[in-house]
Amino acid sequence: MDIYDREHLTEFLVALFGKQANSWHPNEELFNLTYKLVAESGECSEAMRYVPEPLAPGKAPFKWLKKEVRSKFLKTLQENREQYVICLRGAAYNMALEFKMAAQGV
Amino acid sequence: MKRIFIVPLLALCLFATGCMAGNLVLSQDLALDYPEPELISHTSTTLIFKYEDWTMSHEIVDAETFYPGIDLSGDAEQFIRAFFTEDVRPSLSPELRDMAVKQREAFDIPDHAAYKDSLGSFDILGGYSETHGLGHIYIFDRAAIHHIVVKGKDARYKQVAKSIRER
Repeated sequence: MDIYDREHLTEFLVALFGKQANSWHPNEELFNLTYKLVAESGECSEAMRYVPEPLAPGKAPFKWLKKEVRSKFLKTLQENREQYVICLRGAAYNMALEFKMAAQGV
Repeated sequence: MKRIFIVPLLALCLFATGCMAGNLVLSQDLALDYPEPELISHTSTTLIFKYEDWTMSHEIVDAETFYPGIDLSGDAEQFIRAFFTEDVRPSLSPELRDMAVKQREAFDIPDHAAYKDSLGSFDILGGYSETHGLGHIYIFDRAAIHHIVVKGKDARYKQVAKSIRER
């Protein structure tokens, strides 16, 4: 991830999980979980317009998606984060443990 | 002679019941017995116990940060109870009621998999989702609400739920 992708991912995760996400280093696993969170939510699919779906089962989105697609996906999330937070709130709360573990590298 | 009893007992402890390695003091009144983890990690808010094929976490519910941008101060207990108890929902504002229903949907915990128990005067609510392989436990303690998450099989979830005790 380049610096812009990292910034976009962090800003989106802070909007979703609060200040604790400021200390999360935006790594591949956090990207994969973010993709999973958005992909599995049927309610806000705007960001999914920018990714080829469905992904092959078991494929890690970070490795599967081209860099331009990843960047567009993250930029869309960051720019529309207030809207996404509303529709992803419940699913994000349910996945919080996975995000915390990924951020800790455990 | 002692070995005749000790060896099977040890094997039973390690492989059948999940030998409890320690106890986590949750509060003045409550504790949680836990088996030896592979590692323990602490984030800014959450204590995580990681095992080979499952994970457990504990945190105290913070009404101000439960959902970013929404202050649940004064409503957190009823809001959480409303995830699992429909009778509680009318006591919430329409917005919170809607959020509680959506959260329950996001948990994807079927009614038959909801968990309700009590320890003394403390209620325990939660449930396990086969879809997500994830379960939640909320303990309504005297001065705080504990949130325990178990990621793993249902049997692990039940094991953790049963390992909460009074002290």
